[in-house]
Amino acid sequence: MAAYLFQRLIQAIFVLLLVSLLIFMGVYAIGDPIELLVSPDSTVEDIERARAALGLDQPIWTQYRIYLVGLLQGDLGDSFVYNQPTIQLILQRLPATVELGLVAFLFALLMGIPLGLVAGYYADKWADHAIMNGSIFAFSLPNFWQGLLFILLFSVWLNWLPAGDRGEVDQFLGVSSSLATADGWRHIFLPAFNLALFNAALIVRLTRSSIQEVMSSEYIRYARAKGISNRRILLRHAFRNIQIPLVTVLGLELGNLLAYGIITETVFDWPGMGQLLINSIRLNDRPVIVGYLLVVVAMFILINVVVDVLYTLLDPRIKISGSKS
Amino acid sequence: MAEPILSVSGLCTEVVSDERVARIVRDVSFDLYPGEILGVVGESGCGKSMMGFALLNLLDPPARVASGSVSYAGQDITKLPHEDLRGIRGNRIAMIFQDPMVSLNPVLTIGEQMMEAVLAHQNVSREEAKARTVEVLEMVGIPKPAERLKAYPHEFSGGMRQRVVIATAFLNQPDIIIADEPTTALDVTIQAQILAEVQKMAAQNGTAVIWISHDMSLLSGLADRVMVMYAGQIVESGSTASIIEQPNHPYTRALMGAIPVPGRKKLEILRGFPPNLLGEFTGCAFAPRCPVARDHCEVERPELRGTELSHARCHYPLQEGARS
Repeated sequence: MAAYLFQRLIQAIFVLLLVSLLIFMGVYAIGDPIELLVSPDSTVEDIERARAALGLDQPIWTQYRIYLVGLLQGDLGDSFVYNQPTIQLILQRLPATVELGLVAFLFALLMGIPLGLVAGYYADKWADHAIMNGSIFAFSLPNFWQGLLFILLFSVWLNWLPAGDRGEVDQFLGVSSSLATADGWRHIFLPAFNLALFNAALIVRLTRSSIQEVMSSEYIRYARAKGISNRRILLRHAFRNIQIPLVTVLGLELGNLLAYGIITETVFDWPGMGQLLINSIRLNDRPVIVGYLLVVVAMFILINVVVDVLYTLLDPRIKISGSKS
Repeated sequence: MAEPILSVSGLCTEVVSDERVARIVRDVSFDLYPGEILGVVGESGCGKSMMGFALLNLLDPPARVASGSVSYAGQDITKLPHEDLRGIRGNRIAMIFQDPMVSLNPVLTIGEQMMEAVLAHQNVSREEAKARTVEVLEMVGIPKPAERLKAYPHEFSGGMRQRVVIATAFLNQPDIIIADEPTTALDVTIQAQILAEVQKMAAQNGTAVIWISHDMSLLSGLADRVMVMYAGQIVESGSTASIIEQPNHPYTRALMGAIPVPGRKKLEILRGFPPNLLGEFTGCAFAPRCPVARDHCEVERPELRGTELSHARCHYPLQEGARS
């Protein structure tokens, strides 16, 4: 196990280096950010001075080398726009995004798995048809449009829940979070629900098809022959066997929820990393774009390691060792 | 003779697909008595496994029991509500599945899968269930059973897994055990041990056993009575000795001729294949392959002739005495 984790750490460093190079070059290719950063009435000298101050007058390889040296020391560089360390910008907004992503993930699990179990167990009965048709709406209707409808329904007409922003925050597990206050929970409910729906629909469909497959296997028939109750057959024998495919997909979904909640964050005016990224792309704020994406890649790598470790806990036949892949 | 413990009457099963109906088990009737070991023999695809599942109403769509009844303790198993059926399955009537590689759940421990069968039917503590589990594992020759309860199926060999499945059937001391070719994967020594264990249970506890097999020589040493199935029908039934020594049905004789015994130089081969069960057949199902068939056999369906315990479905049975 230790050898495996060490191996994954080395791999992660290579992946992060490669990603940083690709994004750095990609953003460089978009164009010179300097014209977006200086005021329109600056003189040519002003522009040149600003360019030199940001290091943009250097050749691309030199710029990357300087960035890389900083990166290896844990320094993601300063934002061109805010003139603050990138890491500080990201860390300010990370808690909001992570709490939204985690709550949405929790909602997706709580909706998706039970409904999927019911649909798979009662395949081709009315409950299955109702759930499957409902899931089509959840993943075919555009997410932002669903969000707008929720705001219209729950905030404007019914006036049950607030339409945007994070609400009160308080210290929760050492970070400031909405989850620490009742008002925060009222604020997070709608955006998290909106973000969860698409993922819940996917979980429903995956759970359903996995359950259907497992229920037709010989060991389920054998369990029935032993006189085991239907409830135990579904929740113990069958569910235990679909946890591997579920965990694989859930890991990817958690990554997506954390990294790409941008649209929901925009609709609900949620002050997370999504807004920071969109502003940075618009202003071509290279350190922030590269820094943000590196954080996202690191999260994905971490989630994948956790998923791999979970495999060994869920399936006794799987052992991980340093030599494998 | 005592009252039968299981009474099967006119049992038919079918598999429906794309509006075509395959009739797999056709009008099977028999009685099973306490303490009796009944062998069911026939070649692959003759419907013997499906008959076994039908006895516990374990067929999954598209397969189903089409008609007939399976009476156990005054109740028709094919019509019981689910909860009553669950109380019989694994408790009064236990089943041993054919393929040990797929019948155990790969992600649950052996101990859990065996103990749950006890806890599902008996109001006992986990310790008592565990003690009973260890006891039956010893009976089937698993060394150090108490330590093996925490093992997963993949840590057991095929033969060990099959012994686990066999031991599970013994857990609740059922009235009836339905065994579907359970010893095919076992060494001869282990097989002998398990057969002895089954015979002991039948003799001591009055457990009735339905032993489905294609191995006539195995059944000859185990079964009290043998039913021969062909194309979903019972073509012959009788005491093991009479089936082996004086088969009435030409198909039974063909099966006997294919058993290697010392001194037999050349095995007789039965040519051809069983009929397609999708259609109806006129006359005798075995007629196209039968060495003694006459024109008449292709047209008229033979009925079972003989006594309840010894009969054959043939127009021209081989033994003189059975001819009427």
